[in-house]
Amino acid sequence: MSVMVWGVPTESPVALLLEALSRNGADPVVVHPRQFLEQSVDIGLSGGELRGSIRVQDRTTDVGDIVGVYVRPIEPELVPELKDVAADDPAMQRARAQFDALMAFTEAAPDALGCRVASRLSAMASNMSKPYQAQLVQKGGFDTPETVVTDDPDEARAFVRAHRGAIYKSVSGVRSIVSIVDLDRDAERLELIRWCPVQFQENVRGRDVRVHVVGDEVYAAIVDSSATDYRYARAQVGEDATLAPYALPDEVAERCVVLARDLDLPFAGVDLKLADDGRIVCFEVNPSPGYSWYETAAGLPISDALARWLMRAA
Amino acid sequence: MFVVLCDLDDSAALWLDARFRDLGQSSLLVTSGLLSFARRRSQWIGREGTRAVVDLGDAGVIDQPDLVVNRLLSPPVAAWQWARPGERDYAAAEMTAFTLSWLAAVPGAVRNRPSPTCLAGPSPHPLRAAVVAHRAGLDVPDADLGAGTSPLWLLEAAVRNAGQAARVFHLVVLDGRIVDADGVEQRVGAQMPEGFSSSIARFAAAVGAAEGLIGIDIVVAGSRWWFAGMTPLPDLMFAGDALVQDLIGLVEKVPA
Repeated sequence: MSVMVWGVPTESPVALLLEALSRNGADPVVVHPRQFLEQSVDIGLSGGELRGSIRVQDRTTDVGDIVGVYVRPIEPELVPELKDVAADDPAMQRARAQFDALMAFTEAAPDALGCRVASRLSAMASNMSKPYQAQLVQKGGFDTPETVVTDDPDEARAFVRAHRGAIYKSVSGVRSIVSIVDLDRDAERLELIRWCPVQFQENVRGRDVRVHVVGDEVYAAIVDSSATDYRYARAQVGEDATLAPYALPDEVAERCVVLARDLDLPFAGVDLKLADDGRIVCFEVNPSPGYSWYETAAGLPISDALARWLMRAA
Repeated sequence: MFVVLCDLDDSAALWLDARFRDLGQSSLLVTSGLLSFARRRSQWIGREGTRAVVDLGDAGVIDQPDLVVNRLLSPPVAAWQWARPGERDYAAAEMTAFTLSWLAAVPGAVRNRPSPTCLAGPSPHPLRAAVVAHRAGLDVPDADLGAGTSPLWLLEAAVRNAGQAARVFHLVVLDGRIVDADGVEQRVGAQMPEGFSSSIARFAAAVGAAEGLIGIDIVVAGSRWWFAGMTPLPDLMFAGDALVQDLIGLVEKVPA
């Protein structure tokens, strides 16, 4: 039985997982997006069943022997060796075919083989629209911030005034940095939203908590920072945020587990805020959390939990 | 009001909109281009629920449609076509995200709700679809998925598996039920295999189309009907007016 890791081994979340797998006695198959020339993927259907193998250098693994897959790839177009390489270049075509085959395998393997996948790329896509994901989060029983997505400057101004201030951020996952709206300073820029809707949200004040869900387990860290977006605290307030472990109430932990399960994300980063008014507000669910900072700064054994989850045959 | 959402080159959507009008329904055809130049788009999400307004100027306002037939593949970004590539890509991501959120919550009967991987509806990876079809009880061909594989790899494999007698058919499936099943059998010239309709219903449920309008390609050879792929954009004209009546019937099922 094997665990497959599809990602760049030196990237910190992947590196931490590989160390944890090693500590737990696993010898994972590492499919490196940059080493596409030394790898091959051969999959197909036979009698309605998924079959095939994955070769990495001299090691060939039958897909039926793979019990768990960690998915954190990079697209071929972003591989440094393929920078500025044309789409019809043989190297690019080989890398693309390998990516597509691995994606096909990870999409089909849970249904076909009972294989654990953290997580399918299709499941990760719910995070590409924050208001869409917010609707799913609400169904999971969490409050979400009062939100308007609009291309109407008057509507945006009315929302900001009604909520006595607001933040804005992208609707998609692209350029997603949280900023405070200042109606005086931003008066001219606000007119530009006519070209493309922008997301405005009530400015929920309170403490940030990041909850990592791994299967049925949760690992939470509480954040100490005065920044609007604690991930960019140094740029926004001149000093980094600090983290500490946080004991999540059982009922909230259970809701996080169920939410991640409903989103088909066995490994997820749930962003909560313990609001000053007593609410627990969920901002989003990160489908491929870069958990290294939370593991090292708050001492949360996330990589060990992930390794154990991947190794546990379904 | 009925709304038919589509890309500009979607002849099946144009046909459906025309049939709705012929039958006396108030139908609004909204292309991706028209949506791109909307006068106003707003969606509110909060403790009081989700609501939205899309104001298309002279074409109308979409806020409380009775029926939406969504066949939108492309995000509405025509207004950005001359922007710099980086800005255009950003706008495409933003407009895709807005459209996904809007269509997920728009009231009324909606076929299809979008999925995060496809604005037009459920769109499982073809390999996963084939695995799920097999689990649902459908015949699935043997196939390799290698480098340079055609996008129609499953259809091609089904034709190869079926041999010289192979014939290709397209089923329109609404809410797990084959539309105009009798007409399908007439076109094929044979009865469906035992349990076939139930397998189609199980497949639709498994891919998130229990409330959905999908197309399924079938290769028939003798008494065997092979699953050869699915799409959230069925060729509506294959199901004809039986489908039009079924879609109109959905409006009566929506609670007031």
